[in-house]
Amino acid sequence: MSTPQLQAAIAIWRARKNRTGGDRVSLAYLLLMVAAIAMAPVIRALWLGSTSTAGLMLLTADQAPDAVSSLTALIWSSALLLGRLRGPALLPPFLLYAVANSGMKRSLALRRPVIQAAAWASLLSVSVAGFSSAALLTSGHAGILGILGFLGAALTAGIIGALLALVGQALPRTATCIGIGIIAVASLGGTSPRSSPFLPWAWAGAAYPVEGAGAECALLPLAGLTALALVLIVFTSRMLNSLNFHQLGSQAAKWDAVVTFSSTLDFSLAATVYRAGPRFGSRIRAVRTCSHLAMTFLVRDAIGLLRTPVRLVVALGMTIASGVLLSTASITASSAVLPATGAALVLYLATGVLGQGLQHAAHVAADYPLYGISDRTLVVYHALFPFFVSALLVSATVVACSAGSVGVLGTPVLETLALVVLILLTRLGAALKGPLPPRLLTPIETPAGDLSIVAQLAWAFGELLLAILAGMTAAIIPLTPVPALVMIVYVTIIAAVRWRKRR
Amino acid sequence: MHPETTRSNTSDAAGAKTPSAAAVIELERVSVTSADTGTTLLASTTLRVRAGQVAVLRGENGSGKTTLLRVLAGRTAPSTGSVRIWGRPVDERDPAFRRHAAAMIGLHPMAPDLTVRDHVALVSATWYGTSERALRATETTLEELGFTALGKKFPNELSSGQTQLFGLALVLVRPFEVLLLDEPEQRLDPGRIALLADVILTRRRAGATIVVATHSEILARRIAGQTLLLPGAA
Repeated sequence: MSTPQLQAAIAIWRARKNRTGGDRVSLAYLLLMVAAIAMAPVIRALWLGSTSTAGLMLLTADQAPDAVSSLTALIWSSALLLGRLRGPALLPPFLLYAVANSGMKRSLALRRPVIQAAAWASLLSVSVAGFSSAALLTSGHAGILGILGFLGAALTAGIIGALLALVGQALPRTATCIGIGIIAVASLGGTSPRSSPFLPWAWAGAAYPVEGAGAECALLPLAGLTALALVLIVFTSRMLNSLNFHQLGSQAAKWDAVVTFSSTLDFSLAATVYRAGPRFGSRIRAVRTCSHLAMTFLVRDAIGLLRTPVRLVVALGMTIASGVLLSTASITASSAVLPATGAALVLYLATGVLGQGLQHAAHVAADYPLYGISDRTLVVYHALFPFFVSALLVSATVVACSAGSVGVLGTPVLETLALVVLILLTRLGAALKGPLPPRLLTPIETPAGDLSIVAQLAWAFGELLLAILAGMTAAIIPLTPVPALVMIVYVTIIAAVRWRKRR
Repeated sequence: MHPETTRSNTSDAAGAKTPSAAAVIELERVSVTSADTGTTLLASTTLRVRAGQVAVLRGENGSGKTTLLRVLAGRTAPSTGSVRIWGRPVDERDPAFRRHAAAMIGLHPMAPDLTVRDHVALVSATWYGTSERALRATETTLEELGFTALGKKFPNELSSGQTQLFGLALVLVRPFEVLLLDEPEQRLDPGRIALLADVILTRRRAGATIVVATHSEILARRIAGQTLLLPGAA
């Protein structure tokens, strides 16, 4: 089996979306407009920032090569770890099923997406490097040969990044060890090109065009990076042939679900795709007979979360972090809004895990009755666990951090309770949200064009905006509690309206 | 029944040609235990199926029929024992193995924007390229399953029974010597189950070695193969 079969299959696959000439022109126009309206101002702002005095000071700082090394180490380790979830050797589920189960080698069937991933990674890497290089060149801080060497290093680093993601896909356990190893070594100071000449990510930093350095400075690191890329390329076929269909199919299905949910702006559902399933504690009974049914639900939610311990630890860590940020807000009363907003956002993310039962209650309430208790009671019972855990943990952290800093602890605790209530009400509203209403897809004609996308984005990120507002209003409770009370009423109304429309 | 014994049907209801003595599928004391929970997914099982024979897997829900098929398809590694097809260890990553064995274990993914015919043609193309044979295989398979008129439909326009037959078409359109089917009768009406049995017997007469897991008494009786009864759920 060779390429004619693959070409024939891809031809059928591509034919499903036969675009007319008009479609192509329309698409080109759309891309041009997006580039002109959305991307050009961002690029211009970045360019002005890079070529400003402050920007050039950063780009020509002594630590700039170390920063490039650190960034490379971070990107490579992320590639290794993310490849375990979504590697570059992936196709849409049905095409993957057809070609990966055919008689052709997987190194042949999956070569194309890996090459594409490497090309995109290199393009991105060269674009970022090219941006800073252009700023250095136009200001006379670097020579053309040094910049060419750096761009070569960026190109190679991009290819290495894509192939490291393939290592993560083909050898997940090994990739985890290497990824954590890179983070550990880089964190312990292994990023300086001068002190760590044998570390590959430091080669990217060594190729950075510092003032006065010639092209020869970039040659050795570039040779090292090229050698590393070649080694990975040599092993690419072997890695592709070692991929099993179970893993490939699972990755493709998950990615397809993420793309589908994201395209309908349903990011909360997209986030659940990669949620870890329960693996522990199946012998512990989650549903127990307690003195009160509320306690039964409280225990059920607690044990349910214990079955995914990593998620639980992360959620508890985020709740504590939220408390730390909130106490910072209460200490620095003059600039309390920013840390309080951060606290609200982190707590909102944490309650996504802690409020898993609340999400379940909202789903059940949206369907025909399942439990022998009312929907309202079910929601209240499932709200108990996230409320008590977040209220107690955030309050305890705030008290612990604020002790000795403020005379009266009542206000920070009041802020905490207000924030927890606001965030949980927002969570309930999010759980009852449902899919994007079709009316938001209708064009909103304005002199600046169709602004329906703004309404869609507001709908998609509404809860995050509410969380930000919750943080801001909680921060000013010492001055006036009115905004927080208004917010509580507002998110309650939103949740109530969605509750009435839940079926 | 003891899990390590097989019960062979001595009568050959299909009137198939005499199978060769060599076993195509050799499963020796294979068991599967979940690495996560320690649960036994398949108790120790031995099975030998000769070329051109049909083996029928029977048993309660959870008795390990699907797990056994997954082991044969190289998708699940056995915890103990050995499994060979054509004398070679099974490995679905090996293109030579994939050329021998086709499997329908659960429904395959489907592309919402491809028609039934496109789906079947695409799988056919991965085996026969753009040749006349690819087109012929597509048309023959659709016709065999009574799908000719439904070829222009999209997957979401099919009934659940039609979707099941569609999944079967994606497997039957490709060449194989060993065919593994997991409860292919699901959601099919009695007429379609009879059609399914005919398709299986046609493939058997053509020399394919087939293993079918089924709960359907009608299908099991019609294809009348060697029966392996797996003990109850773990």
